[in-house]
Amino acid sequence: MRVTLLGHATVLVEVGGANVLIDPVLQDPFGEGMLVACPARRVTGLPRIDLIILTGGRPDHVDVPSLARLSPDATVICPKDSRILYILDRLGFRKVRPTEPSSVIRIAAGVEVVTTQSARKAPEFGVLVKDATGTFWDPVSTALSRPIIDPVLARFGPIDLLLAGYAYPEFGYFGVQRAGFPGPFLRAAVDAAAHVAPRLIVPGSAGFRFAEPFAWTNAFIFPISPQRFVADLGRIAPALATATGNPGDVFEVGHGRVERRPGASPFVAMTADDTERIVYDPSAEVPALSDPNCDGYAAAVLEQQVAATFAELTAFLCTSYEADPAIAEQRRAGGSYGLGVVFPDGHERWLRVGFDGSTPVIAQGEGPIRGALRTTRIAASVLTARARYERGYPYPGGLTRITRINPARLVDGKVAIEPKEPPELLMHWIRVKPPGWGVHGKQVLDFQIAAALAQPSPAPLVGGAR
Amino acid sequence: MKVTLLGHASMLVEMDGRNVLVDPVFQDPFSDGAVAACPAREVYPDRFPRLDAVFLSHLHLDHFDVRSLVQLPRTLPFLCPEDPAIVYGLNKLGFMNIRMLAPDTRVDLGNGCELLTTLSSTDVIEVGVVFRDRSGTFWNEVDSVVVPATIRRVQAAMGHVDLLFSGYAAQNVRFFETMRAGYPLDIATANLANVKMVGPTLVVPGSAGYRFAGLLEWANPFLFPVSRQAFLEDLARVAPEVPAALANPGDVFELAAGRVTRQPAASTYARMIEDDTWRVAFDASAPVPRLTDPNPLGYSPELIDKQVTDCFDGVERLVRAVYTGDRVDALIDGYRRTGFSYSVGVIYPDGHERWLYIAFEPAAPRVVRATTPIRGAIASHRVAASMLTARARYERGYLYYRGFFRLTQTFLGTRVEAGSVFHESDEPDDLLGYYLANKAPGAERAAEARLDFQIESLRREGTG
Repeated sequence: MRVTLLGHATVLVEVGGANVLIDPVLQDPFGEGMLVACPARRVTGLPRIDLIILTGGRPDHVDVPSLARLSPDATVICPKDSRILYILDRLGFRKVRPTEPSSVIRIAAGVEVVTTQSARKAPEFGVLVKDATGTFWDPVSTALSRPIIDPVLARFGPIDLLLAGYAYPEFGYFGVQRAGFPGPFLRAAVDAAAHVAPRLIVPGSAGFRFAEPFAWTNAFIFPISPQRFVADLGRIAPALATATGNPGDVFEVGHGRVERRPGASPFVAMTADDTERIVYDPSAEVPALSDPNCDGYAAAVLEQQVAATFAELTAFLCTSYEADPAIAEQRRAGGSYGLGVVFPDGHERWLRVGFDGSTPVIAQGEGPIRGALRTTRIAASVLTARARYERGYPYPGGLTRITRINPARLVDGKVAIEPKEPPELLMHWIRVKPPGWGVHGKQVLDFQIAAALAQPSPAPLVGGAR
Repeated sequence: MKVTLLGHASMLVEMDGRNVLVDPVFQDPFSDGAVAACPAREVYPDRFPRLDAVFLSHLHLDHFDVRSLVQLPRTLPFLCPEDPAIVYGLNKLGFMNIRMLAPDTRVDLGNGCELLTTLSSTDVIEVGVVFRDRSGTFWNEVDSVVVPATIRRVQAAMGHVDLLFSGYAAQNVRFFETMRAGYPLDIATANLANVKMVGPTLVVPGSAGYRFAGLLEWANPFLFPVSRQAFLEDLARVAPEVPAALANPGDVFELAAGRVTRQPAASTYARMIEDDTWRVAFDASAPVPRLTDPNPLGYSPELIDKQVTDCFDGVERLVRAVYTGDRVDALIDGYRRTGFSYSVGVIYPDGHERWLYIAFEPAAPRVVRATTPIRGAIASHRVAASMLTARARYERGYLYYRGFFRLTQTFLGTRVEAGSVFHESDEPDDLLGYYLANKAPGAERAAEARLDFQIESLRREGTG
């Protein structure tokens, strides 16, 4: 069995004459233009792909432009996630098998693919591939725990090669600027890898960085480096063999060993080890919020969309003040919510809602938002892209910033400040706006699919292209 | 009794024939230039009535201001907490009539006037103060950390509190170190619960009436999560039975016949120039500048470099001495036991850097010095070179220094002993901060040295 790292979470497994591609992301940038593989790589071609495995619905795993470049004749295994199924259907994939975790699929003589469970409640799974030469486990983004690991080891173990989950992209940092080091996560990740105790551990997945204009966030959101993970693992399980993996590295599994062949792949080349760009440094600079208007909306479009969204939010608050559950949480918290919108030329507009009365107290104005306890500041072009359903999560990262102070309340005669904040009101409205997320969510995907299909075809991927 | 707010924590308390000045700070900026009163104000000490005493709550520089103290008659009696450094500073300024007061001490001021010092449940040597005359009782918590037992003691000793200046700001003091824009919910909760328990005739959000100034101005959006206004709104929700008011510089609060009246801008001793509290509006979306060294004290490159070298040498010597058994140190033992690694990155005014890295390996420390960043340490301390110099020479206090350093802490605390994995529960202290505060040359008289520097600077200004 030959395992090739293609960059970020994309992995090619050549096994028993079949070629399996996991979470194909084949060009940069990806993730709506926000992300770039790190270390940098170039995919120059692919062999014939027999099986595509999509392990979860996040945009850095289900990349519409990459899927659009692959032959729709391949079989696809994916979680039962309507978003993934919709994309595959629109792209013309016909051999799609929605699959539960813990399923065993025989893909060739003596070759089994297993979807492994996640401790998280999300439609996602890991991938285990087993043949006579050995066993490879790629948990991808799944969270592992001993109750998940033990049955896998009992049935398919021991493991030769493990792509261990180690990374904790700290998206929580965006906006609130109060993320800390995810110690409990790292402990669990180290413990899981040590418990699997494979022949070789390679920190897997999560090889990306943010592109401009979001690059400043790179210093904050990758608190755990592969080196840190390996160092901590080495402290508690010094007998285990570890190696870091770069795009283009090949791991040959067979004859009771795993051989790492750096840069040996004919399909992908690491063009630079630029991981220096994502060194964790919470002391780094945070720029002022501004609107780079990445999508090039005309000023009039931005003004119109912001005015329309303020009007819609106002109407929503007035008509649904009693009925909407998120508004109910805002009212229970009390205090006020403020939305501040920053335009590309620097001017700002705001909407403020007071939740202390039996009707909402709504005000609008020009300039910086002041006087609200919970404040969302957002770039006008991001609000526009979200409100027109042309961009999905996590597109606003770094261009949406949230300030939250919770009001105090009396609970059983005692002063209490609820640590949990009510749902963010703008994003809530964008989700519940009629006719509802069922329709709007598809709209976001349609926009991406149309954009991907409209792209002039890049150089064909050998054997696997349309 | 008349209580006049002079700005920030400074006030004048006029009782029946007894006038006491509290934490006098008359001009802005103060505290090494780190902060200025907010709302902005002007104070006219020459218009003060005859003073009978000065009360100092603690030695922090926004309460103990050498520049203001030298304007006072040297014969004035001082009341202060049991901090020898305060006495040292006052003596050096020529004040000899000083009485140190433990918490819970009653002082008879004569003419039916008295005060009571109140406990602060923290490791800072400080007190709050309750004033009483025939017209009523006024509790000024200043910066003290008040717990329910303290409230019960004050009420037992002094009865009903008419006017309360309460802590309110729940300041996010760790922001500078960690760059995390959260806020201490427990302190915010306790501040409100305390007001409810005291149940005064009138409560005023007190102290913390400042903003960061000059080079530290960028930090204002992060440091004051609970505004005065937000505190009043919270009080209206959780303690609607307690009347509350804001105090601006120049406002006078008069206690008479069981009532407290607020007389805005009634003082002739001080006036508010502008309500500029918008400067301290909490805004986690604000920008954070890159850490640079503006060298505000104008040190020469040679002086800075020597001080940095001395500091690196001192830290390394301390670590090696603990490994060889020549010194005993729990912090460094803990580092060694947990396989810690630590780096200091010093940024110079011209942008170049010097780094010290220490891996606390079992047998011996592995020490690396470099002029480019050394990555991968579990904890890292980045600091402006001239401010490290100023701190090591005791020429700037912590309030100022903290704007020029940043900590990164990624401690996991996992270690293996006899084949079992253990997790430490607490993050260990920062090594450079610990060294400077406790182990550096002269650390044992740091407070005195800082006072010497301030007094000396003032003298030089006076003669120059």
